[in-house]
Amino acid sequence: MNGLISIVCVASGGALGALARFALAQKFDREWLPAGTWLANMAASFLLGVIIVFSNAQSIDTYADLFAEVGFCATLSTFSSIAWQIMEMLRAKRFARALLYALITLLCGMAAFYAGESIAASLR
Amino acid sequence: MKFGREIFRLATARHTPLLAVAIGGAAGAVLRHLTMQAFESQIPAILACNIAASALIGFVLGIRERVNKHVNHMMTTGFCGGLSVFSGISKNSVHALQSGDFPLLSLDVAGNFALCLLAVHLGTTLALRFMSAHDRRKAARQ
Repeated sequence: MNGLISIVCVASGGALGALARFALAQKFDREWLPAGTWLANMAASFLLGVIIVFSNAQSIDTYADLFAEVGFCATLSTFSSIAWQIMEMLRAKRFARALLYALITLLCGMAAFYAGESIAASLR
Repeated sequence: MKFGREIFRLATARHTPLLAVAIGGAAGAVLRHLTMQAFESQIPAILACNIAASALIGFVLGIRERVNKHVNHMMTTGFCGGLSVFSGISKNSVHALQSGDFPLLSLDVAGNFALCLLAVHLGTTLALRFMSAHDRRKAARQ
């Protein structure tokens, strides 16, 4: 039963995360820069930083943690779309743009996670 | 009855992409959760999920002209997006940087980018071969 509740928590968080990313991608993704996917990844990294602090302090329920961290945050972020977008840039011989997109995604993602973690730690 | 059917058709037509993305995202998230539990460490589990999702997105987008657009949304934005994860890479990278574990940081990041790009390429190549084989079979039948 506990396993089933865990699966339901992950699935419902995952469904919401995927919808949020889909909405951002539809609104902001452009051919020259997938800004919607980038925004979704940054929001997910920031939120994960916040949730990790509360999860480590055991101040949130296990199921709420599964819903928010494993379900929503992880599904809001994506790596397969990043890989596809970079591959498309490489196929179009836009090497500098591909490198810049990969670097900006990685570095800003790390910064967003760190910011989320620091802000949550100072608030707690 | 006819009016009800028409309302149902309109409602589902408008919301089918959302439903497809939500179902795909839920399935991808559950598969990732189960994979994470099967691995002892998070880093190889994330890498495995990302490689599988990248190969699949490469394949599905490679044959996208032949696939229903809702199935396409469900598989790419939904399932592959739900199975793959970036926030976990951000977390592991920051923690590796904080503990000064630069080899782990570079291995994790380079591994994810290099292997997932390769997986996308393999997926697309396989899709193109699949399509040409399908076309040949179709031509032979005619």
